[in-house]
Amino acid sequence: MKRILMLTLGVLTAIGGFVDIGDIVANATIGARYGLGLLWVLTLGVIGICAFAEMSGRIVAVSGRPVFDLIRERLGPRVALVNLAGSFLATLLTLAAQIGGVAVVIQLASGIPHVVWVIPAGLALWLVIWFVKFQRIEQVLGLSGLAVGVFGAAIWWLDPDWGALAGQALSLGPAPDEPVPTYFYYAVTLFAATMTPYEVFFFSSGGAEEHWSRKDLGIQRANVLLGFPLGGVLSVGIAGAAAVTLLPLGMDAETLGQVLLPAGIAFGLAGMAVAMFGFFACMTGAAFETSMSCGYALAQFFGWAWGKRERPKRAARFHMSVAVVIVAAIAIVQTGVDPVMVTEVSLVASAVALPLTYLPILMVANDRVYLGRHVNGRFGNAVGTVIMVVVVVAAIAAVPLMIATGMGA
Amino acid sequence: MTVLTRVAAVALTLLLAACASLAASTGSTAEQVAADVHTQAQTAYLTSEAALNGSPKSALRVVLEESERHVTDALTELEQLQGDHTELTSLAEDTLRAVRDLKTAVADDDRAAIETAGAAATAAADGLEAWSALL
Repeated sequence: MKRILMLTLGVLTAIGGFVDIGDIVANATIGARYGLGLLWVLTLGVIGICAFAEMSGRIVAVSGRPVFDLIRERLGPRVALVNLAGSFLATLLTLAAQIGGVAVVIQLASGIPHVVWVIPAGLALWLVIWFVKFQRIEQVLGLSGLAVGVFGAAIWWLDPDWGALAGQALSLGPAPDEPVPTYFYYAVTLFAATMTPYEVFFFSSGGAEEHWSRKDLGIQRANVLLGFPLGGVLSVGIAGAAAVTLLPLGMDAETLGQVLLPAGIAFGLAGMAVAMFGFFACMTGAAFETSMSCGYALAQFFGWAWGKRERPKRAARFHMSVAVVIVAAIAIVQTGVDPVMVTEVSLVASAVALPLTYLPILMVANDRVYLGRHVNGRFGNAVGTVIMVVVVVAAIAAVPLMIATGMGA
Repeated sequence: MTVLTRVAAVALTLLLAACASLAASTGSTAEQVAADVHTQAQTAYLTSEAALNGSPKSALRVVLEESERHVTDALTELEQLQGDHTELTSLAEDTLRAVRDLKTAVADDDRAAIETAGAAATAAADGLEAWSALL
Protein backbone atom coordinates (compact mmCIF):
# COMPACT_ATOMS: atom_id res chain seq x y z
CA MET A 1 0.00 0.00 0.00
CA LYS A 2 2.82 2.37 0.93
CA ARG A 3 4.55 1.65 -2.39
CA ILE A 4 1.35 2.35 -4.33
CA LEU A 5 0.98 5.63 -2.47
CA MET A 6 4.62 6.48 -3.21
CA LEU A 7 4.11 5.64 -6.87
CA THR A 8 0.93 7.74 -7.14
CA LEU A 9 2.57 10.67 -5.40
CA GLY A 10 5.69 10.34 -7.55
CA VAL A 11 3.69 10.23 -10.77
CA LEU A 12 1.51 13.20 -9.78
CA THR A 13 4.63 15.13 -8.80
CA ALA A 14 6.27 14.31 -12.12
CA ILE A 15 3.15 15.47 -14.01
CA GLY A 16 2.96 18.79 -12.19
CA GLY A 17 6.73 19.24 -12.21
CA PHE A 18 7.03 18.67 -15.96
CA VAL A 19 5.82 22.12 -16.96
CA ASP A 20 8.01 25.22 -16.59
CA ILE A 21 8.11 28.71 -18.12
CA GLY A 22 9.81 27.32 -21.23
CA ASP A 23 6.94 24.89 -21.82
CA ILE A 24 4.36 27.57 -21.07
CA VAL A 25 5.85 30.17 -23.42
CA ALA A 26 6.70 27.72 -26.21
CA ASN A 27 3.32 25.97 -26.15
CA ALA A 28 1.30 29.19 -25.95
CA THR A 29 3.28 30.88 -28.73
CA ILE A 30 3.02 27.83 -30.95
CA GLY A 31 -0.64 27.25 -30.10
CA ALA A 32 -1.46 30.83 -31.15
CA ARG A 33 0.46 30.48 -34.40
CA TYR A 34 0.10 26.85 -35.48
CA GLY A 35 -2.65 25.51 -33.22
CA LEU A 36 -1.78 21.91 -32.41
CA GLY A 37 0.31 21.70 -35.59
CA LEU A 38 3.54 20.99 -33.70
CA LEU A 39 2.08 18.25 -31.51
CA TRP A 40 4.41 15.80 -33.24
CA VAL A 41 7.41 17.74 -31.88
CA LEU A 42 6.01 17.68 -28.36
CA THR A 43 5.41 13.95 -28.69
CA LEU A 44 8.96 13.41 -29.92
CA GLY A 45 10.30 15.53 -27.04
CA VAL A 46 8.29 13.61 -24.46
CA ILE A 47 9.55 10.29 -25.86
CA GLY A 48 13.08 11.71 -25.69
CA ILE A 49 12.86 12.99 -22.14
CA CYS A 50 11.27 9.71 -21.00
CA ALA A 51 14.04 7.67 -22.63
CA PHE A 52 16.89 9.74 -21.24
CA ALA A 53 15.39 10.35 -17.79
CA GLU A 54 14.83 6.60 -17.50
CA MET A 55 18.47 6.00 -18.46
CA SER A 56 19.77 8.55 -15.97
CA GLY A 57 17.49 7.18 -13.22
CA ARG A 58 18.73 3.66 -13.95
CA ILE A 59 22.35 4.82 -13.87
CA VAL A 60 21.80 6.34 -10.42
CA ALA A 61 19.84 3.38 -9.07
CA VAL A 62 22.43 0.83 -10.21
CA SER A 63 25.70 2.69 -9.70
CA GLY A 64 24.60 4.82 -6.73
CA ARG A 65 26.25 7.83 -8.39
CA PRO A 66 24.70 10.71 -10.32
CA VAL A 67 25.12 10.77 -14.08
CA PHE A 68 27.48 13.74 -14.34
CA ASP A 69 29.82 12.35 -11.74
CA LEU A 70 30.23 9.35 -14.04
CA ILE A 71 30.51 11.51 -17.16
CA ARG A 72 33.55 13.27 -15.73
CA GLU A 73 35.10 9.94 -14.85
CA ARG A 74 34.21 8.36 -18.19
CA LEU A 75 35.07 11.24 -20.56
CA GLY A 76 37.84 12.94 -18.62
CA PRO A 77 37.90 16.44 -17.14
CA ARG A 78 38.46 18.36 -20.40
CA VAL A 79 35.45 17.03 -22.29
CA ALA A 80 33.41 17.14 -19.09
CA LEU A 81 34.36 20.82 -18.69
CA VAL A 82 32.83 21.63 -22.10
CA ASN A 83 29.78 19.66 -21.01
CA LEU A 84 29.66 21.56 -17.72
CA ALA A 85 30.05 25.00 -19.35
CA GLY A 86 27.31 24.44 -21.94
CA SER A 87 24.80 22.85 -19.63
CA PHE A 88 25.53 25.26 -16.76
CA LEU A 89 24.99 28.38 -18.87
CA ALA A 90 21.77 27.02 -20.35
CA THR A 91 20.53 26.09 -16.88
CA LEU A 92 21.48 29.46 -15.39
CA LEU A 93 19.51 31.26 -18.12
CA THR A 94 16.61 28.89 -17.50
CA LEU A 95 16.75 29.74 -13.79
CA ALA A 96 16.68 33.47 -14.60
CA ALA A 97 13.65 32.89 -16.82
CA GLN A 98 11.83 30.99 -14.05
CA ILE A 99 12.49 33.69 -11.44
CA GLY A 100 11.40 36.36 -13.93
CA GLY A 101 8.28 34.32 -14.68
CA VAL A 102 7.42 34.04 -10.98
CA ALA A 103 7.80 37.82 -10.67
CA VAL A 104 5.48 38.37 -13.66
CA VAL A 105 2.84 36.04 -12.19
CA ILE A 106 2.96 38.02 -8.92
CA GLN A 107 2.67 41.21 -11.01
CA LEU A 108 -0.45 39.82 -12.69
CA ALA A 109 -1.95 39.01 -9.29
CA SER A 110 -0.98 42.26 -7.59
CA GLY A 111 -0.70 44.85 -10.36
CA ILE A 112 2.73 45.90 -9.05
CA PRO A 113 5.57 45.82 -11.69
CA HIS A 114 7.51 42.59 -11.90
CA VAL A 115 10.93 44.17 -11.28
CA VAL A 116 9.77 44.87 -7.71
CA TRP A 117 9.21 41.15 -7.17
CA VAL A 118 12.43 39.74 -8.61
CA ILE A 119 14.56 40.05 -5.47
CA PRO A 120 11.80 38.89 -3.07
CA ALA A 121 11.08 35.93 -5.36
CA GLY A 122 14.77 34.96 -5.48
CA LEU A 123 15.17 35.42 -1.74
CA ALA A 124 12.05 33.35 -1.03
CA LEU A 125 13.40 30.62 -3.31
CA TRP A 126 16.67 30.52 -1.40
CA LEU A 127 14.85 30.41 1.96
CA VAL A 128 12.69 27.51 0.75
CA ILE A 129 15.79 25.63 -0.43
CA TRP A 130 17.50 26.32 2.90
CA PHE A 131 14.67 25.44 5.28
CA VAL A 132 12.26 23.04 3.56
CA LYS A 133 12.92 19.35 2.99
CA PHE A 134 13.73 18.18 -0.52
CA GLN A 135 10.79 15.82 -0.89
CA ARG A 136 8.33 18.31 0.59
CA ILE A 137 9.33 20.99 -1.94
CA GLU A 138 8.99 18.57 -4.84
CA GLN A 139 5.63 17.22 -3.71
CA VAL A 140 3.97 20.52 -2.81
CA LEU A 141 5.10 22.36 -5.94
CA GLY A 142 4.65 19.34 -8.23
CA LEU A 143 1.10 18.71 -7.02
CA SER A 144 0.24 22.43 -7.14
CA GLY A 145 1.51 22.53 -10.73
CA LEU A 146 -1.38 20.25 -11.69
CA ALA A 147 -3.51 23.43 -11.54
CA VAL A 148 -2.22 24.18 -15.05
CA GLY A 149 -4.75 21.54 -16.10
CA VAL A 150 -7.27 24.42 -16.05
CA PHE A 151 -6.24 25.16 -19.65
CA GLY A 152 -7.34 21.70 -20.74
CA ALA A 153 -10.65 22.27 -18.94
CA ALA A 154 -10.96 25.65 -20.67
CA ILE A 155 -10.69 23.99 -24.09
CA TRP A 156 -13.53 21.65 -23.19
CA TRP A 157 -15.61 24.48 -21.73
CA LEU A 158 -15.17 26.73 -24.79
CA ASP A 159 -16.46 23.87 -26.94
CA PRO A 160 -14.22 24.39 -29.99
CA ASP A 161 -14.35 22.81 -33.42
CA TRP A 162 -12.88 19.47 -32.37
CA GLY A 163 -12.45 18.39 -35.99
CA ALA A 164 -10.27 21.44 -36.71
CA LEU A 165 -8.17 20.73 -33.60
CA ALA A 166 -7.74 17.10 -34.65
CA GLY A 167 -6.78 18.26 -38.15
CA GLN A 168 -4.09 20.52 -36.70
CA ALA A 169 -2.81 17.74 -34.45
CA LEU A 170 -2.43 15.36 -37.38
CA SER A 171 -0.63 17.85 -39.66
CA LEU A 172 3.10 17.37 -40.10
CA GLY A 173 4.26 20.55 -41.81
CA PRO A 174 3.68 24.29 -42.01
CA ALA A 175 0.63 25.76 -43.75
CA PRO A 176 1.36 26.92 -47.35
CA ASP A 177 1.45 30.62 -46.30
CA GLU A 178 3.79 30.00 -43.34
CA PRO A 179 7.57 30.48 -43.76
CA VAL A 180 9.36 27.15 -43.37
CA PRO A 181 12.31 28.49 -41.29
CA THR A 182 9.94 30.02 -38.74
CA TYR A 183 8.08 26.72 -38.45
CA PHE A 184 11.33 24.88 -37.76
CA TYR A 185 12.54 27.57 -35.36
CA TYR A 186 9.44 26.97 -33.23
CA ALA A 187 9.86 23.20 -33.63
CA VAL A 188 13.40 23.47 -32.22
CA THR A 189 12.35 25.67 -29.28
CA LEU A 190 9.46 23.36 -28.40
CA PHE A 191 11.74 20.33 -28.57
CA ALA A 192 14.28 22.12 -26.34
CA ALA A 193 11.54 23.15 -23.90
CA THR A 194 10.45 19.53 -23.57
CA MET A 195 13.97 18.17 -23.19
CA THR A 196 15.55 20.99 -21.14
CA PRO A 197 18.93 19.70 -19.87
CA TYR A 198 18.30 20.54 -16.22
CA GLU A 199 15.53 17.95 -16.07
CA VAL A 200 17.98 15.04 -16.22
CA PHE A 201 20.60 16.87 -14.12
CA PHE A 202 18.03 17.26 -11.40
CA PHE A 203 16.42 13.86 -11.86
CA SER A 204 19.68 11.97 -11.56
CA SER A 205 21.13 14.03 -8.69
CA GLY A 206 17.80 14.03 -6.87
CA GLY A 207 17.79 10.23 -7.21
CA ALA A 208 21.20 10.08 -5.60
CA GLU A 209 19.96 12.40 -2.83
CA GLU A 210 17.09 10.01 -2.18
CA HIS A 211 19.44 7.01 -2.24
CA TRP A 212 17.77 5.14 -5.08
CA SER A 213 18.86 1.53 -5.40
CA ARG A 214 18.10 -1.37 -7.75
CA LYS A 215 14.85 -2.07 -5.93
CA ASP A 216 13.61 1.44 -6.81
CA LEU A 217 14.06 0.84 -10.54
CA GLY A 218 10.39 -0.02 -11.05
CA ILE A 219 9.08 3.06 -9.25
CA GLN A 220 11.45 5.48 -10.92
CA ARG A 221 10.59 3.96 -14.31
CA ALA A 222 6.86 4.33 -13.61
CA ASN A 223 7.35 7.92 -12.47
CA VAL A 224 9.08 8.74 -15.73
CA LEU A 225 6.96 6.72 -18.13
CA LEU A 226 3.64 7.82 -16.62
CA GLY A 227 4.48 11.22 -15.13
CA PHE A 228 6.28 12.86 -18.03
CA PRO A 229 3.77 11.91 -20.76
CA LEU A 230 0.90 13.07 -18.56
CA GLY A 231 2.90 16.25 -17.91
CA GLY A 232 3.07 16.57 -21.68
CA VAL A 233 -0.73 16.51 -21.71
CA LEU A 234 -0.72 19.64 -19.51
CA SER A 235 1.49 21.30 -22.12
CA VAL A 236 -0.94 20.26 -24.87
CA GLY A 237 -3.68 21.93 -22.80
CA ILE A 238 -1.80 25.26 -22.88
CA ALA A 239 -1.19 24.97 -26.64
CA GLY A 240 -4.79 23.89 -27.22
CA ALA A 241 -6.25 26.79 -25.21
CA ALA A 242 -4.17 29.22 -27.30
CA ALA A 243 -5.26 27.38 -30.46
CA VAL A 244 -8.92 27.78 -29.54
CA THR A 245 -8.86 31.44 -28.49
CA LEU A 246 -5.83 33.22 -29.98
CA LEU A 247 -5.30 31.43 -33.30
CA PRO A 248 -8.73 32.28 -34.80
CA LEU A 249 -8.00 35.98 -34.15
CA GLY A 250 -4.64 35.79 -35.96
CA MET A 251 -2.72 37.15 -32.96
CA ASP A 252 0.55 36.20 -31.29
CA ALA A 253 1.09 35.24 -27.65
CA GLU A 254 3.87 37.52 -26.43
CA THR A 255 3.21 37.84 -22.71
CA LEU A 256 2.17 35.57 -19.84
CA GLY A 257 -0.92 37.76 -19.41
CA GLN A 258 -2.11 36.88 -22.91
CA VAL A 259 -1.50 33.18 -22.17
CA LEU A 260 -3.85 33.45 -19.17
CA LEU A 261 -6.76 34.96 -21.11
CA PRO A 262 -8.35 31.65 -22.25
CA ALA A 263 -8.70 30.58 -18.60
CA GLY A 264 -10.35 33.93 -17.80
CA ILE A 265 -12.69 33.76 -20.78
CA ALA A 266 -13.78 30.23 -19.83
CA PHE A 267 -14.00 30.44 -16.04
CA GLY A 268 -13.61 34.13 -15.09
CA LEU A 269 -12.01 34.91 -11.74
CA ALA A 270 -11.66 31.27 -10.67
CA GLY A 271 -10.07 30.24 -13.97
CA MET A 272 -7.48 32.99 -13.96
CA ALA A 273 -6.70 32.48 -10.27
CA VAL A 274 -6.16 28.75 -10.74
CA ALA A 275 -4.04 29.35 -13.85
CA MET A 276 -1.89 31.93 -12.06
CA PHE A 277 -1.48 29.58 -9.10
CA GLY A 278 -0.47 26.77 -11.46
CA PHE A 279 2.05 28.98 -13.26
CA PHE A 280 3.46 30.15 -9.94
CA ALA A 281 3.87 26.57 -8.69
CA CYS A 282 5.39 25.29 -11.96
CA MET A 283 7.87 28.14 -12.22
CA THR A 284 8.83 28.06 -8.55
CA GLY A 285 9.32 24.29 -8.78
CA ALA A 286 11.46 24.71 -11.88
CA ALA A 287 13.43 27.53 -10.21
CA PHE A 288 14.17 25.12 -7.34
CA GLU A 289 15.23 22.40 -9.77
CA THR A 290 17.39 24.67 -11.93
CA SER A 291 19.18 26.33 -9.02
CA MET A 292 19.88 22.94 -7.45
CA SER A 293 21.00 21.61 -10.85
CA CYS A 294 23.58 24.40 -11.18
CA GLY A 295 24.93 23.48 -7.74
CA TYR A 296 24.92 19.77 -8.55
CA ALA A 297 26.77 20.30 -11.84
CA LEU A 298 29.50 22.41 -10.29
CA ALA A 299 29.94 20.22 -7.21
CA GLN A 300 30.00 16.97 -9.17
CA PHE A 301 32.54 18.31 -11.66
CA PHE A 302 34.90 19.70 -9.05
CA GLY A 303 34.42 16.78 -6.66
CA TRP A 304 32.95 18.81 -3.78
CA ALA A 305 30.70 17.34 -1.13
CA TRP A 306 27.15 18.00 -2.33
CA GLY A 307 23.50 17.41 -1.57
CA LYS A 308 20.59 19.27 -0.08
CA ARG A 309 20.61 16.83 2.81
CA GLU A 310 24.26 17.57 3.53
CA ARG A 311 24.78 20.05 6.32
CA PRO A 312 26.04 23.42 5.04
CA LYS A 313 29.25 23.02 7.01
CA ARG A 314 30.06 19.77 5.22
CA ALA A 315 28.97 20.90 1.76
CA ALA A 316 29.71 24.62 2.06
CA ARG A 317 30.82 25.12 -1.56
CA PHE A 318 27.72 23.35 -2.90
CA HIS A 319 25.33 25.43 -0.79
CA MET A 320 27.26 28.60 -1.59
CA SER A 321 27.14 27.91 -5.33
CA VAL A 322 23.35 27.42 -5.20
CA ALA A 323 23.05 30.81 -3.45
CA VAL A 324 25.40 32.47 -5.95
CA VAL A 325 23.52 31.20 -9.02
CA ILE A 326 20.28 32.53 -7.55
CA VAL A 327 21.93 35.93 -7.10
CA ALA A 328 23.27 35.77 -10.68
CA ALA A 329 19.82 34.89 -12.02
CA ILE A 330 18.26 37.75 -10.04
CA ALA A 331 20.89 40.11 -11.49
CA ILE A 332 19.93 39.05 -15.03
CA VAL A 333 16.20 39.63 -14.55
CA GLN A 334 16.61 42.74 -12.39
CA THR A 335 18.04 44.57 -15.41
CA GLY A 336 14.42 44.87 -16.52
CA VAL A 337 14.78 42.48 -19.44
CA ASP A 338 11.49 40.86 -20.46
CA PRO A 339 11.31 37.39 -18.79
CA VAL A 340 9.61 36.00 -21.91
CA MET A 341 12.62 37.13 -23.96
CA VAL A 342 14.97 35.49 -21.42
CA THR A 343 12.88 32.33 -21.79
CA GLU A 344 13.19 32.37 -25.57
CA VAL A 345 16.97 32.85 -25.37
CA SER A 346 17.24 30.13 -22.72
CA LEU A 347 15.36 27.72 -25.00
CA VAL A 348 17.80 28.35 -27.83
CA ALA A 349 20.73 27.95 -25.40
CA SER A 350 19.17 24.71 -24.15
CA ALA A 351 18.79 23.47 -27.72
CA VAL A 352 22.49 24.11 -28.37
CA ALA A 353 23.48 22.38 -25.11
CA LEU A 354 21.26 19.33 -25.66
CA PRO A 355 23.95 17.03 -27.16
CA LEU A 356 26.37 17.94 -24.35
CA THR A 357 23.86 16.58 -21.88
CA TYR A 358 22.32 13.65 -23.69
CA LEU A 359 25.21 12.05 -25.62
CA PRO A 360 27.20 11.24 -22.45
CA ILE A 361 24.09 9.75 -20.84
CA LEU A 362 23.65 7.43 -23.82
CA MET A 363 27.32 6.43 -23.54
CA VAL A 364 27.23 5.74 -19.79
CA ALA A 365 23.92 3.87 -20.12
CA ASN A 366 25.72 1.45 -22.44
CA ASP A 367 28.77 0.99 -20.21
CA ARG A 368 28.82 -2.41 -18.49
CA VAL A 369 31.51 -1.22 -16.08
CA TYR A 370 28.90 0.97 -14.40
CA LEU A 371 25.63 -0.75 -15.18
CA GLY A 372 26.49 -4.44 -15.56
CA ARG A 373 23.45 -6.28 -16.85
CA HIS A 374 21.33 -3.11 -16.56
CA VAL A 375 22.82 -1.48 -19.69
CA ASN A 376 20.44 -0.29 -22.42
CA GLY A 377 18.60 -2.97 -24.35
CA ARG A 378 18.09 -2.85 -28.11
CA PHE A 379 14.83 -0.94 -27.82
CA GLY A 380 16.33 1.63 -25.45
CA ASN A 381 19.29 2.15 -27.74
CA ALA A 382 17.10 2.43 -30.84
CA VAL A 383 14.96 5.12 -29.20
CA GLY A 384 18.03 6.83 -27.71
CA THR A 385 19.83 6.89 -31.07
CA VAL A 386 16.85 8.31 -32.99
CA ILE A 387 16.36 11.01 -30.35
CA MET A 388 20.11 11.71 -30.38
CA VAL A 389 19.99 12.39 -34.14
CA VAL A 390 17.12 14.85 -33.59
CA VAL A 391 19.01 16.43 -30.68
CA VAL A 392 22.11 17.02 -32.82
CA VAL A 393 20.08 18.46 -35.73
CA ALA A 394 18.20 20.76 -33.31
CA ALA A 395 21.47 21.90 -31.70
CA ILE A 396 23.07 22.74 -35.06
CA ALA A 397 19.99 24.48 -36.45
CA ALA A 398 18.99 26.46 -33.33
CA VAL A 399 21.19 29.56 -33.65
CA PRO A 400 20.97 29.96 -37.46
CA LEU A 401 17.19 29.65 -37.27
CA MET A 402 17.02 32.14 -34.40
CA ILE A 403 19.05 34.72 -36.35
CA ALA A 404 17.35 34.12 -39.67
CA THR A 405 13.80 34.32 -38.36
CA GLY A 406 14.40 37.17 -35.90
CA MET A 407 13.42 34.77 -33.07
CA GLY A 408 10.36 33.55 -34.89
CA ALA A 409 9.03 36.95 -35.91
CA MET B 1 37.41 16.84 -43.78
CA THR B 2 37.21 16.63 -39.99
CA VAL B 3 33.95 16.13 -38.14
CA LEU B 4 34.17 19.70 -36.83
CA THR B 5 34.54 21.08 -40.38
CA ARG B 6 31.54 19.07 -41.54
CA VAL B 7 29.44 20.33 -38.65
CA ALA B 8 30.52 23.91 -39.43
CA ALA B 9 29.65 23.43 -43.11
CA VAL B 10 26.19 22.11 -42.27
CA ALA B 11 25.63 25.00 -39.84
CA LEU B 12 26.71 27.56 -42.45
CA THR B 13 24.45 26.02 -45.09
CA LEU B 14 21.51 26.14 -42.71
CA LEU B 15 22.29 29.74 -41.80
CA LEU B 16 22.44 30.81 -45.45
CA ALA B 17 19.27 28.93 -46.33
CA ALA B 18 17.50 30.49 -43.39
CA CYS B 19 18.78 33.99 -44.18
CA ALA B 20 17.53 33.62 -47.75
CA SER B 21 13.99 33.34 -46.47
CA LEU B 22 14.32 36.06 -43.85
CA ALA B 23 12.27 38.50 -45.86
CA ALA B 24 9.49 35.95 -46.25
CA SER B 25 9.56 35.31 -42.51
CA THR B 26 9.39 38.81 -41.18
CA GLY B 27 8.01 41.16 -43.87
CA SER B 28 8.61 44.92 -44.04
CA THR B 29 8.88 47.10 -40.94
CA ALA B 30 5.41 48.56 -41.52
CA GLU B 31 3.95 45.04 -41.83
CA GLN B 32 5.66 44.01 -38.60
CA VAL B 33 4.29 47.09 -36.84
CA ALA B 34 0.81 46.34 -38.21
CA ALA B 35 1.04 42.73 -37.01
CA ASP B 36 2.06 43.85 -33.53
CA VAL B 37 -0.74 46.44 -33.32
CA HIS B 38 -3.19 43.82 -34.62
CA THR B 39 -2.13 41.46 -31.82
CA GLN B 40 -2.71 44.22 -29.27
CA ALA B 41 -6.16 45.03 -30.71
CA GLN B 42 -7.16 41.36 -30.50
CA THR B 43 -5.67 41.16 -27.00
CA ALA B 44 -7.91 44.06 -25.99
CA TYR B 45 -10.92 42.26 -27.45
CA LEU B 46 -10.10 39.03 -25.54
CA THR B 47 -9.45 41.05 -22.39
CA SER B 48 -12.92 42.58 -22.71
CA GLU B 49 -14.39 39.07 -22.96
CA ALA B 50 -12.44 37.97 -19.88
CA ALA B 51 -13.53 41.13 -18.03
CA LEU B 52 -17.20 40.50 -18.85
CA ASN B 53 -16.74 37.03 -17.37
CA GLY B 54 -15.47 38.45 -14.09
CA SER B 55 -11.70 37.94 -14.42
CA PRO B 56 -9.48 39.69 -11.85
CA LYS B 57 -8.93 43.38 -12.54
CA SER B 58 -5.27 43.39 -11.56
CA ALA B 59 -4.33 40.79 -14.19
CA LEU B 60 -6.42 42.48 -16.88
CA ARG B 61 -4.88 45.85 -16.09
CA VAL B 62 -1.37 44.37 -16.49
CA VAL B 63 -2.35 42.81 -19.84
CA LEU B 64 -3.79 46.11 -21.08
CA GLU B 65 -0.82 48.18 -19.85
CA GLU B 66 1.46 45.85 -21.80
CA SER B 67 -0.73 46.30 -24.91
CA GLU B 68 -0.74 50.07 -24.43
CA ARG B 69 3.07 50.08 -24.26
CA HIS B 70 3.33 48.00 -27.45
CA VAL B 71 0.97 50.27 -29.40
CA THR B 72 2.69 53.43 -28.12
CA ASP B 73 6.05 51.99 -29.26
CA ALA B 74 4.48 51.10 -32.62
CA LEU B 75 3.26 54.69 -33.10
CA THR B 76 6.74 56.03 -32.30
CA GLU B 77 8.21 53.61 -34.83
CA LEU B 78 5.70 54.70 -37.47
CA GLU B 79 6.61 58.36 -36.91
CA GLN B 80 10.25 57.55 -37.64
CA LEU B 81 9.48 55.37 -40.64
CA GLN B 82 9.93 56.87 -44.10
CA GLY B 83 6.94 57.00 -46.45
CA ASP B 84 3.23 57.63 -46.05
CA HIS B 85 1.74 55.59 -43.21
CA THR B 86 -1.30 57.74 -42.48
CA GLU B 87 -3.81 54.90 -42.62
CA LEU B 88 -1.73 52.57 -40.48
CA THR B 89 -1.06 55.35 -37.97
CA SER B 90 -4.76 56.09 -37.77
CA LEU B 91 -5.54 52.41 -37.13
CA ALA B 92 -2.85 52.24 -34.44
CA GLU B 93 -4.35 55.33 -32.79
CA ASP B 94 -7.80 53.69 -32.87
CA THR B 95 -6.27 50.64 -31.19
CA LEU B 96 -4.58 52.76 -28.55
CA ARG B 97 -7.85 54.56 -27.82
CA ALA B 98 -9.70 51.25 -27.51
CA VAL B 99 -7.05 49.85 -25.16
CA ARG B 100 -7.12 52.95 -22.95
CA ASP B 101 -10.93 53.08 -22.90
CA LEU B 102 -11.02 49.43 -21.96
CA LYS B 103 -8.52 49.98 -19.15
CA THR B 104 -10.74 52.70 -17.69
CA ALA B 105 -13.89 50.61 -18.17
CA VAL B 106 -12.32 47.60 -16.43
CA ALA B 107 -11.17 49.77 -13.53
CA ASP B 108 -14.72 51.23 -13.22
CA ASP B 109 -16.38 47.83 -13.63
CA ASP B 110 -18.54 49.45 -16.32
CA ARG B 111 -19.92 46.54 -18.40
CA ALA B 112 -21.41 48.72 -21.12
CA ALA B 113 -18.15 50.60 -21.60
CA ILE B 114 -16.22 47.29 -21.61
CA GLU B 115 -18.44 46.02 -24.44
CA THR B 116 -18.04 49.27 -26.39
CA ALA B 117 -14.25 49.28 -26.02
CA GLY B 118 -14.11 45.58 -26.97
CA ALA B 119 -16.10 46.33 -30.14
CA ALA B 120 -13.80 49.27 -30.95
CA ALA B 121 -10.78 46.98 -30.56
CA THR B 122 -12.35 44.45 -32.93
CA ALA B 123 -13.08 47.20 -35.47
CA ALA B 124 -9.44 48.33 -35.28
CA ALA B 125 -8.27 44.72 -35.74
CA ASP B 126 -10.55 44.34 -38.78
CA GLY B 127 -9.16 47.58 -40.22
CA LEU B 128 -5.60 46.32 -39.74
CA GLU B 129 -6.47 43.04 -41.46
CA ALA B 130 -7.95 44.95 -44.39
CA TRP B 131 -4.83 47.15 -44.54
CA SER B 132 -2.58 44.07 -44.61
CA ALA B 133 -4.72 42.41 -47.29
CA LEU B 134 -4.26 45.42 -49.59
CA LEU B 135 -0.45 45.00 -49.61
